[in-house]
Amino acid sequence: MTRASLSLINDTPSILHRYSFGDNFDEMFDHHANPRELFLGVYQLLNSLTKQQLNIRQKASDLSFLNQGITFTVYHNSESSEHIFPYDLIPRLIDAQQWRILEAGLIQRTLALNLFLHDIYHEAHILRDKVIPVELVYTCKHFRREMIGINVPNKQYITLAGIDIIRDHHGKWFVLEDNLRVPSGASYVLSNREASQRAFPSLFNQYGIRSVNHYPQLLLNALKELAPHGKQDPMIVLLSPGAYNSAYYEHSFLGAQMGVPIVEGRDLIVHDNHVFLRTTQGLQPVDVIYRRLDDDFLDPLIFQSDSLLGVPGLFNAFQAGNVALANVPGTGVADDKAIYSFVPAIIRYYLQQEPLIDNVTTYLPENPEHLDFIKENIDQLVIKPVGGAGGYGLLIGSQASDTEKQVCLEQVIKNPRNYIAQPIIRLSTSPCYIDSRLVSRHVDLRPFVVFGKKPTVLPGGLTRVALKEGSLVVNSSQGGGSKDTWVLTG
Amino acid sequence: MLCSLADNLFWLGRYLKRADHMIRLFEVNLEIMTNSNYHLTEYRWWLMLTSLGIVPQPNKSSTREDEIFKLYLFDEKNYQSALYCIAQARMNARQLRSIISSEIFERINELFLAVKSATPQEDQDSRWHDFFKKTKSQLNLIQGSTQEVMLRDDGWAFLQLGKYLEHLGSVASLLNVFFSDYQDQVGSQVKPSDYIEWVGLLKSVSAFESYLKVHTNNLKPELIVDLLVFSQVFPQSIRYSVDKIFSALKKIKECSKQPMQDQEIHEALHGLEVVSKSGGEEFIHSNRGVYFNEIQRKCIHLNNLIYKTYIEFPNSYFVN
Amino acid sequence: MHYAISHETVYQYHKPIKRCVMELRMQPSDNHTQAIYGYHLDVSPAVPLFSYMDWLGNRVLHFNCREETNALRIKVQFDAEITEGLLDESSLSRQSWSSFESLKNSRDMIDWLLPSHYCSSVPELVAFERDIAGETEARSPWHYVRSVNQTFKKHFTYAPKSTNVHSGIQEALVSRMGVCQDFSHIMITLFRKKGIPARYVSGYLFHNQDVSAPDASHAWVEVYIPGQGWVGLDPTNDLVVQQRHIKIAIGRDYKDVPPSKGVFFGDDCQHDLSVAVSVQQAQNQ
Repeated sequence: MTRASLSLINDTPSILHRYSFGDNFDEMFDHHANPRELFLGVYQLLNSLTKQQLNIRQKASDLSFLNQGITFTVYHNSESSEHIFPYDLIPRLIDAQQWRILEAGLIQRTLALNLFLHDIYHEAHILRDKVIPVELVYTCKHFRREMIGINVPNKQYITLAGIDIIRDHHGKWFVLEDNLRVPSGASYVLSNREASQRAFPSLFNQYGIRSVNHYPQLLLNALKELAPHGKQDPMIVLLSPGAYNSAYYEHSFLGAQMGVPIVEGRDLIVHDNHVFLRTTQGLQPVDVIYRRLDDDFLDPLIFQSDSLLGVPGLFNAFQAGNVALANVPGTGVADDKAIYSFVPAIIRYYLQQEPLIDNVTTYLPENPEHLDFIKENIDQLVIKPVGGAGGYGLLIGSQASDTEKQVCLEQVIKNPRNYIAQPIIRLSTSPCYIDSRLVSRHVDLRPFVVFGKKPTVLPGGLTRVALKEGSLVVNSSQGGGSKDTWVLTG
Repeated sequence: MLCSLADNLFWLGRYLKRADHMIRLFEVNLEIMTNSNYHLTEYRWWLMLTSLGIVPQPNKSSTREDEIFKLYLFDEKNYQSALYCIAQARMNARQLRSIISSEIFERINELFLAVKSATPQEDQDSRWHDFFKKTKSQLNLIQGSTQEVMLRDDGWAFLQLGKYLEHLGSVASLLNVFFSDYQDQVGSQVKPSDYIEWVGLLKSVSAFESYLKVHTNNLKPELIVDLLVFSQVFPQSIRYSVDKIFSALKKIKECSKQPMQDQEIHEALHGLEVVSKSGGEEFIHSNRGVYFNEIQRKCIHLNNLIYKTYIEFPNSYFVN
Repeated sequence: MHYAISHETVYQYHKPIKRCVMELRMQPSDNHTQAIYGYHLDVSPAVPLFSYMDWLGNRVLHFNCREETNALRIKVQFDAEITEGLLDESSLSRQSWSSFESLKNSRDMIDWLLPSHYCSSVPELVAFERDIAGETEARSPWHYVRSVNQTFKKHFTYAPKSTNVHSGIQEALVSRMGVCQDFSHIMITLFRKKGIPARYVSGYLFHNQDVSAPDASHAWVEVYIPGQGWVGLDPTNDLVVQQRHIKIAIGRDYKDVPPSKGVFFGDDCQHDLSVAVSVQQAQNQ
């Protein structure tokens, strides 16, 4: 374990002193504990800074996050509390060449998933050709039968995707999860950038770092393309579940940055199959809705009838083509974790290409052979609920007690369709500045794909950090934080 | 303007004003009690809470000072506390990021964080003094920022509506409680033993210094009423609030391409104007309890009409 | 056979409502076994009507009303001519269990085989299945379907208002009382468990002395027999559907086909719903 411990020639007590990352793949240091070339600038700067200097920077950014109200809400036993999203000072870097591969892989994946969505809601060739079992799709909680046969503008189901990618202990990239419903986190990418610019202005001069600040414009343009009947100056709104939602900061930030109204269900009214905004001067027509509300809550007339968040009649206005929704209802079927295991097949089927970024091996307990494998190897597996998000309900075999594993297996056997199992992947680590020490923590990356007529990946993304030592769970709701991600220019 | 944003602005105005009013009342009360060796502490608190529309809960030692501070200043869960008002102001402000500047939001957020982390300990006078002073200046700063940066459009008008309707209601309520207690004094100079109470009343609405400027230190109930109710130039007066409400409604109408039906609102507003324009002389001879009740009632009526016309969100029910 | 149907639904609100949004599944499909004439749907207060075909092929009418009102009245009138389908029981019986096996892989059949909101097995259903084991015949799926259809009259009491539209099958299975909706849900669940595609049908019944609430809509079941198509069975009256059933909508269960549903806005949720249905035999034109 000491193999990668650092001992510095320099005898000043640098904060890099005693940084160790075991036999994980570290983003900043190679396995000889030498800084990777890419990180030399960061390394040198860190070496020259004292703890006090770093503490000042960390405090300043924490305070700025707090005062700006950059927070999210955590739910626990029906109590909720507001937290700032912990931000770690030390940036994570990705070089241009690597980014090109990731970018191509993410676009390829989104393209294929979009084709898949169009297909299963129309002819369903992929099911008739038995590439994916019919039952798997039809038992997916997020498969919306109401979408069958509906033609969506530009055949575009996905406008925004957040695809979680990780690196294993060899540094190889994998896709861990697709988020195609209402992916969140883009606002933190922007506020992290603001913070890192303030903390390390000199590095911005030294490195060529690709900008992420145009994200709201990128998203707005993609939303404009969806306007019914090619309307030139469409009225676009952001539909939020409201100020008490965990991601409300993001909603208000993006709405304000795009310059579109942030609305709740009660602000919208459907009249004669068109959607209108309720204003103090009467009704105003709405053309495009960037919705941050799950399908279930969109329209009580069609989906969950006890939801008070939605807009009755919205779905009918949508299917009549009078209003566009981004993302379209029913995209969740493509980010179901059991469908996930078929994404490489989906890419091959629609694009006749090999996936550029691999999937993590996935076992489906519905398959008896897989189930046996899961039973025997649960110690080396992660068990995940298929429709889960935010890291809720996850079991990591190597860290669970026998009882926990037992209970989990019983659940899996009782309800095999609701779970998947994957090998435990030791995520790559990155140096983080925690409690005045530089320590290694596991990280992942959520890049955002804005999938308009010209699919674009925002260069960067949200690097999520598992703040607890040794933890592999990076979700903000499970004590995760984040750091800025610098994609370098060519 | 979105109905819900109008709603947020309206309540932002109301909650900021309400918090401000509460902080002032607490400060003045504490001052009176520490300066006068006052022996009727419980009674004073009761009086103050009643003027805030709070019915103190019996058997909860709710008239003990530290309990009162805890419950009505710092208990975020108590909807009648100052912290609750500030938290609500912040919630509304959060939804108004696109309307108010980020600077204003950050100030409100800072205020919230400051009051939330101010822990009520044993009362060191200076400690409370500092707290009230700081909170008041933060609130002033927020009011000042809105004055400086907000566009004078219909959004501004809804903020003003909330602010002045709140003010109108709380001043009327304060006077109502006060005059029902000091009725016999009307017509003559205030009794020396009550002097501090009348000064307290004036200070509760930041009117003491203005009073001195206009009437010198000759405290007479009818002159006090003249200033607090009928003055056209004193910004804390009822008359002044009514005028502000009038211009806010006018602004809303001007900004709208298809004006809403507001006949009823104008009738209600007119009713308020009539009572706030009659003079001090007339007031002396009227039944003051009825008079202030009438103002409060008209205020609520106007509030409901404005809400119904511009904002209202009816409940929805699913049937099959 | 020729029928004249009228169906009136009235929502009476205790306090006036400000607006409402409604969806109706009240328009029968016009096809070779069922011809529809003079279809008429009136809503009062008067509103523009919109329509679409849902994913099940049902015609859905929808509208919104922004007029403050005390009541919403929906009146449907039409004539239907039902052509008697030829029921060839011998070829139905010839379809063996094995011919049903691959249906689950078919996109068109899967929804009629998977459990649904109201049609999911419960322990009481398994018990009921055991109770009737002696009375059912499993020689062929058709034999099974026919024999199960016969058991309801014996094992259940038809009792209007013993359950409501939101009742799960458990209630009726425990009390052994229910209405057409409950019997249909129970029978669908039994069939799907055996791998026989089954679906829920809402509509009207012209009745002489059969049971079915005289003033309400009716519900029954359709099963799919490979090579033969869909065949209707009415567990409430132990009938094979031929010419007295007028079909409105199909679904996985009641949840897919409520005749009317909607959201209304106001200060008071209380309202009364009254429904009047009449099915008369008409003079042949």
